[in-house]
Amino acid sequence: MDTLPASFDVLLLGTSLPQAILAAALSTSNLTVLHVDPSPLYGSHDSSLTLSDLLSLPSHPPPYLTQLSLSTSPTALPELKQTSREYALSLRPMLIRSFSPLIDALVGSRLSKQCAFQLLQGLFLYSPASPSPTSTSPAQSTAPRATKVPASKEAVFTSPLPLLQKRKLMRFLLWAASPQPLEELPELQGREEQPLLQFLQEVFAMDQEGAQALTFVVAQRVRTSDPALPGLRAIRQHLLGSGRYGPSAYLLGHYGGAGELAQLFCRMAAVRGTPYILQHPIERLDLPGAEGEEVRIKLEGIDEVFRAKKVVMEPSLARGVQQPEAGTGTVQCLAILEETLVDEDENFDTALLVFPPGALGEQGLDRTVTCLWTGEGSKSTPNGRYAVYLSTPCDAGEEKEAKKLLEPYLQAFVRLTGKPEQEPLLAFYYKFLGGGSQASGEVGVEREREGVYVLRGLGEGLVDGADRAAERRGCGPEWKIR
Amino acid sequence: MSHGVKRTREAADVLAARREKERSKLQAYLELTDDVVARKRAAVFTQECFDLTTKLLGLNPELSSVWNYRRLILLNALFPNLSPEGTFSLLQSELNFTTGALKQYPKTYWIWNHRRWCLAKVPPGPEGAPVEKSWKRQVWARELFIVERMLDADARNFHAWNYRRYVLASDPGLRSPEDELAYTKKKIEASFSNFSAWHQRSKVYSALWEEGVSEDEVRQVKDAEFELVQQALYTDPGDQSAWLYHRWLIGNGDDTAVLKREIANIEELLAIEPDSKWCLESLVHYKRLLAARSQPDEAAQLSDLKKECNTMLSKLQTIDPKRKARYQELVL
Repeated sequence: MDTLPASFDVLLLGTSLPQAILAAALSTSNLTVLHVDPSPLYGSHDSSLTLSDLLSLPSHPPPYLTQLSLSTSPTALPELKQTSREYALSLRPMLIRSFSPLIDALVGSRLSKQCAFQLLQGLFLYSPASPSPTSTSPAQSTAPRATKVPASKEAVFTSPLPLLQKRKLMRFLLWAASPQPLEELPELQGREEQPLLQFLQEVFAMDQEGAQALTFVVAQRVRTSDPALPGLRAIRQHLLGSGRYGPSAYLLGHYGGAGELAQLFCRMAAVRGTPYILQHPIERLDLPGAEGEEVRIKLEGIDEVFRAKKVVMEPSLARGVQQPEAGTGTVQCLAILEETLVDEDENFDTALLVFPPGALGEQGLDRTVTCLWTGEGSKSTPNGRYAVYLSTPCDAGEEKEAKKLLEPYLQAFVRLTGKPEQEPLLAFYYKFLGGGSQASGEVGVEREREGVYVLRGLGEGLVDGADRAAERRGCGPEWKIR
Repeated sequence: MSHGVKRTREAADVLAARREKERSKLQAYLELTDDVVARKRAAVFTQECFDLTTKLLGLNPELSSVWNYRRLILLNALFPNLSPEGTFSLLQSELNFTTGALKQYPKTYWIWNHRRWCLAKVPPGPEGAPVEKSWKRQVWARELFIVERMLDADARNFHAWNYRRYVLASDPGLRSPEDELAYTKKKIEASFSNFSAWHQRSKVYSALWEEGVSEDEVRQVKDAEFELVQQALYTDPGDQSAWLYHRWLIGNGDDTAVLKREIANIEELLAIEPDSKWCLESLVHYKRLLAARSQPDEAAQLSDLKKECNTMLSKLQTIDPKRKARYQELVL
């Protein structure tokens, strides 16, 4: 085996997806790179976990997880341990838009030949129970339900919506997908900051449920106050993305999504000569104090001290630099269920349900909670099991813990499944630090000082993460992927 | 011819070398053509001639007379010595030959012709086999499979829909009318902007009703179809394919109750889409049908209908000025 050089041009800390893409990009340049990760798995916080990996998290929580609470149903535990390797779970599930920088990176690097994806098969909006409006009839309420959200002409055509609503929805979708820049559209003038919900109801005469479906499911907005212009941009992206790979605008990577892709990019870098050192904790990291000084890193179990001119760090491995507001992140729940939503006799292997703000009344939150589930179709679980991912952004000031916030939502989801009485085989609640609502988005690699860079802006929500992993804003020309 | 490929200036010696190589290829091709044509003229039918046609058609499948010659050889020299099994086997290899040729030249009529000729020549058999296992069923099922792949790739390819009708007519046992209706429904749901799928639907129903079906049943089926097409009309009033199907359902307008009902439905749509050309156009057409059926004691209604048509026609002249003259002609 070749001996490693003692000095490199770039040191990368952490093998999460954005870092992996960066490594692959750098490997096509003349720069020498060393890629280090104290984690035993490629992907760091993006890595795909087996069930055993998941079960061991509470005893050794990584720095980016807090408020961990994991429970398994006693009858399920033996099965879960036995089938552990058939699971590929993610701590930060990621949906990829069919037109996105990540797809471009995969195709451009030809790694797309080595990975496979599952199309998201449905988008649903949660509607809470509603009492009967008339006072003469007995207290007859409609049960809570999940309604499929049509977001393409074909979906609108086949949906059970009344005729008039179909027309209104189509009229809006055509307007939103027009080639003119959004800022120039006359209907939007003066209303760009208006809440999207309000805009849809006032300008396009949409009813509340239709407006909610568009705002929280298609546009993936988080709060009722979210403004119109960025929301419409998201809707337009969704409409344009439909049809590229099938009747859906989103893809989910097989074998846990981000983790698998991180591995591919790392492998590409390794094949081109980038050395990889995993599983050795960082004993000491010296950042350059003055111009011309090098970065020095000492890993446990390795005598040599490696030096580099520049270092790029993942937020959770960043030290000696100013950290963003501590405590912001997302609260999440990962649950394993036997059965999920059945809609008109159709089983959905991989789909997304959105709880709009206030969906669970006092028990719930004033912002959306996304519920993404996936099963065998994306090779995330064995046959007959589904991984359900609940997620919502969370500020530092939030008092309630992850489990308290999301348990009502998991229960509401279970009641909608084909087996409403089922007990989850596993329910893991946690708070994931970092990422979060950096909507003003310093995206990409932020330069702290000479030679020191930190990844920022991991994105909020299911879709942003994938987009931002591959975006190259604010970087020098040597970061470009060919 | 390739689009977007720039013309490159070749060095003189490279150009000369390429011309030389091409000249010898051209020479060989011309010699082969002369040879084959001479043999055809002399009415020589042998295996050797057959192999020469294979070679020549591989170079240029548009030589229709060479295809003819190939068929003459098959009929006169090759088939007569073969058992039905042998004939079937030879026809299968002929079909494979055309499949390969079609992949390269999908629009060459002579290749399609040869394919149809082969399909028609499949002998009955094998002996004692039920219909599902017959050679004919085998080849027609394969044709249907191929045409369905083509329609999956492009559901609006009317050549493929034509070929589908030819296949189903040649072996009606392949698909029941119900299956065919389900297939068209699937294609329509995938994208209702598909004239061929709606058209196929109308063809299937026409064939079914020809066999003698009660008026009640026809009306029931038509009512369901009106519901279906109305979903399309409301989803996209600008899509002509759905309007055409609607017009077929109305037919000559003899059922005035249905005519009036549909007129009312379209007027509702017009209320929310006042500038929809197809709404106005269809209403004019249907109201004229109604007018033609008005009874002597309905003079007031007739006058109203005429007024309404003329108002709509003048609106159409402003919305669709290219067809102004046509709308002027239609004024009652």
